[in-house]
Amino acid sequence: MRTFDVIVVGGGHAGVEAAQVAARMGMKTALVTGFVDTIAIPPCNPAIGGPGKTQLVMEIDALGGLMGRVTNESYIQARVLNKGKGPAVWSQRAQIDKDIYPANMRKRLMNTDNLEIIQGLAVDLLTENNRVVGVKLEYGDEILAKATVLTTGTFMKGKIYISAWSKEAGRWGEFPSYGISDALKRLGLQILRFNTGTTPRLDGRTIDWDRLEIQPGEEGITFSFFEAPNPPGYKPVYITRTTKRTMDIVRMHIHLTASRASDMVKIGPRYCPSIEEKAVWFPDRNSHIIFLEPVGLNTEEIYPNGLAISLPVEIQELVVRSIPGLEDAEIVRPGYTIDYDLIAPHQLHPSMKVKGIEGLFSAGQINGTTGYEEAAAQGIIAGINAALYVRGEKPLVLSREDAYIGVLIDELTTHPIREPYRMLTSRSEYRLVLRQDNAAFRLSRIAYDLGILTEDEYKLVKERQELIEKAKEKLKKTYLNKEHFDFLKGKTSAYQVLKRPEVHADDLIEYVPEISHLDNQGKLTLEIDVKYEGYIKRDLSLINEAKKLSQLGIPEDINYDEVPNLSREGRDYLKEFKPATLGQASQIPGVSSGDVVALMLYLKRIKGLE
Amino acid sequence: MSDIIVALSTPPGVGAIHVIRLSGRGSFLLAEKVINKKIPPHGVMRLANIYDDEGDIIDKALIVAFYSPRSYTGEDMVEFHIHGNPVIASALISRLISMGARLAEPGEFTKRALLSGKMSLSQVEALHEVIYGKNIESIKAATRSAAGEYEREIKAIYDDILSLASAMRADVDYPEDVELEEYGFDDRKKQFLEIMDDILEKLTILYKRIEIGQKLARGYKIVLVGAPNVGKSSLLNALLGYERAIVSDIPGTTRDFVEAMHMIGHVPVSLVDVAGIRQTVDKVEKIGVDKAKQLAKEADLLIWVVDGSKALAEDDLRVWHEFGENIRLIAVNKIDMVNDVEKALLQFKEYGPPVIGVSAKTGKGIDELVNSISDILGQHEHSPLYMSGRVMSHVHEALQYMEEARNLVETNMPEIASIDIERAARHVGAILGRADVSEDVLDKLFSTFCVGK
Repeated sequence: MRTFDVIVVGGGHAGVEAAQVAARMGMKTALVTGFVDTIAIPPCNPAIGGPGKTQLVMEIDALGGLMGRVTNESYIQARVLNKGKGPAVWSQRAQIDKDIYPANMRKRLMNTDNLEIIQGLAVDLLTENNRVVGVKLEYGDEILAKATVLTTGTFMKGKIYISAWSKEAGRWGEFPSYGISDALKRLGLQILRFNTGTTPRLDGRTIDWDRLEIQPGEEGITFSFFEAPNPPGYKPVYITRTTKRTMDIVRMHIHLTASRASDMVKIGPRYCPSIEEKAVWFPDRNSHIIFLEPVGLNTEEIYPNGLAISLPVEIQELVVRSIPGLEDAEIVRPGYTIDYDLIAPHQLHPSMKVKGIEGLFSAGQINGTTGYEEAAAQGIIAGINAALYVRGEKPLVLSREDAYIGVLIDELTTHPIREPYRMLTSRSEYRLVLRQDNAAFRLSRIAYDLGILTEDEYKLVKERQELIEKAKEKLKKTYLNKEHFDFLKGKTSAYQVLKRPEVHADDLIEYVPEISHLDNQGKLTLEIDVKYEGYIKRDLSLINEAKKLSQLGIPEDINYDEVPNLSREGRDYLKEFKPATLGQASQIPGVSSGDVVALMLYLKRIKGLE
Repeated sequence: MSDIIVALSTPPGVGAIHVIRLSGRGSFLLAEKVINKKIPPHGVMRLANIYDDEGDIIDKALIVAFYSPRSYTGEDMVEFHIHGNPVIASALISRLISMGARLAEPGEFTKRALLSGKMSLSQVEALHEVIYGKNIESIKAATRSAAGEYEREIKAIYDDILSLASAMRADVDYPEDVELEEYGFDDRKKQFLEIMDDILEKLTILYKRIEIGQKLARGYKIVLVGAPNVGKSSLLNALLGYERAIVSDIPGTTRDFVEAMHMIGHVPVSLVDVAGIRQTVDKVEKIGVDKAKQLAKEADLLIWVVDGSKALAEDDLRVWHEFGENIRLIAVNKIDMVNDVEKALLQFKEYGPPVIGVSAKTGKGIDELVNSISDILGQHEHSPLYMSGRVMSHVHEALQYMEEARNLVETNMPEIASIDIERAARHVGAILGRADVSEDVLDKLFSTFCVGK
């Protein structure tokens, strides 16, 4: 029987980050996967990033994760979205090659010290009382570890559906896992069931490209602070739209969609509705955008993004062929939907450790999220905290004010989950401060201190930060006038000039040569910091207030019966858990946000703050 | 919250009747044991015998049942209207407790109403004003609030803000969809501005209505200004009907302001007498004068008091110069010392505000002054709404964020405006007790826009 410090069960986007980071923190780590060839594959659309998600990718990168670095060497088209608006909400998105991405990821994992990859489906958790001590594999072997991280995605009792047809599978073509969710139930955990779907893949040779609108890529886009982009090739994206005929076909056959024709669970993500859902929810709309995304350089397959579907395959064909440019398109792989077991995520501590059970962590879709980036974000935190747990150290908890990862985990662990959770830029009210361009400045120090980032890597972060500060100082000391810019009336600092929306950092290089020492990302940070200065300051003061509030201490001798407007349930839990701060109180399940507000008002009053 | 609570809902002691309320799941079972028959249908009052545990009748009472959720607490509820004898009341309550009910904590019925979602926090606060309010106008306003009238209004505003916030969110989070579908910011800026103006107007009116409600509850501030020794303190006392301010013949006696609560007609007021305004070298008085200016600024009604027995002096004119635009009544005092009242008043007519001749000393003209005050303050541009200070400050914050957001939209910074709009939504949502405003915005987004792939 083999013994490790940390076992990671599952080789998806959460699992690879958890395993890599634990290994880099010196843990003897095992990555247990059902099939080595499918490590880090993108089973749904071949894309990384987009609003809300790119922030996660850059934060994962800042913490020493792999997603951004591997994206940089695997993307075949990338562009910046939202360019029409201020730079604070620009968001980049990449089409990755579905074969190159996993290959690059596998290569990096295999070159990671302390990390061992083991093929074998985990079928049970080994437990001693309320402690998980390892896993049992399908062929009978048992592996032991001090900490186990579950990242099994959609594999727990996964079942795929096309209309009334169904088949037990973790993903199409892969065995589901049975024992794990039963083991979790045995440990007393609440298990939920969600569904999600994917689109058919089309044969690109049968698409009439000439009639379609092209969406070209842009150069130089990076998803990592530490490594430059190095795309293996290029293929553009094309755009088409559904027609009235498309939607008529869908509506006419709506009774055949899997959710109506089978007994599958119907709790799916509103964020990426299937074409059937669009037909029902928006009966007056017939024109829906479809992005035709290249799946890879070595395949002709095309991913028609926006066309998730679970109608019978012959109907899927009719639907596809009713769309301009796709009249003769052939389906290579049909669209399908899947339902799967998950852990109700309120049972997790924000460290991703399962509450009340020793040695068990979970991350990714198993916790009710959707998206590769959301999975990876939890994965890296779970990996770090599994390592810290083994070391017997305090867990790393990122707050809403620290990072999008903090927002994600906070909402996951404190809000009742109603559907698969997806990150959105607007989920953070501090989005001017928590940006993709400054993720390294916000978080890399943590990864360096934990031993994940090397000395050289962290030096890069500090250097750029210093260069930006130097440029800012020089901007403030440099004065410009009408001779430099027509619109200037009197003597104005270059700093003030850069605040104007139409002026960019490059326009000032002539007068402030320090700017030329910055790369594009650095210039972007400089511009945003200057242009949004007032708003960023305002948000930083709100952040400080929020942090102070969550750190608001609760006196040990508090009498909860004297706190007005507490719910009975909340009062009981508070009495039982005895939280030390308002922040802790807010993390107790059963203590509603209304209870937290009531408690906060009371604390403020007794402390004479109001 | 499954336990059953019981309480005497009328003041204790001997009276015509007592009402005992019972609430919680299982209340009907208990009540049926006590009356030894079936509970009447919802809302119907029936005569019933009340039995003690030995089967003896202790009272003949009226009983009414309210079926969940159509009750005050939202739970099954029974009211016993028994004869007003404390002995009967305590016998019945004891019997109910012996069967498993427990004595309610103070305010627990209302708390249950709050928790079951039957009432919002603001409704509860308004109800408190209905029960403990001190004047009829504010009680009327509070009753309106408790009935949830304002709730609909605030809900409508909340809904508007959510629509706006969700449109802006779609813009930030689904740029590809909105750009290509032409419902992005650029296409809709004008529309956004119109919606924002509408929300701003509604919030402003709401704020004003609450302000009026607050004034009705706390009293309008009437400030008397005038030169030294024109008799402001005497007039104040005449209005109040008792000696309140220090009255003396020495100019400048009223160094500090004096405030008192009073009813004028149906209008609650607090009257403020301030130090006489004059050019002064006295430091202490200087502070008093500055304070007077501050008070006059906060006043709901500024009355200029002049001495009708004398010609207008420089100090009088200084007062007019300082406060003229805000003065809404001119009280010409000491008309008991004047022979031709008409003539005495005439010289003030040219200043504009209504002129009333009074004598603080004899009480002449005080009625007329009271009527004028009551007329002016009794007219509201908007109907009053009683809300707590908490609600008022949320509305205030929401207004400020919306104003900021409007400027940002105007200057093409929707990415920041969207943050302010959501902060405004948070404040309005807090009034309604919405726990997760962000989720409300998303609900709106996905029900309005077809976004996402």
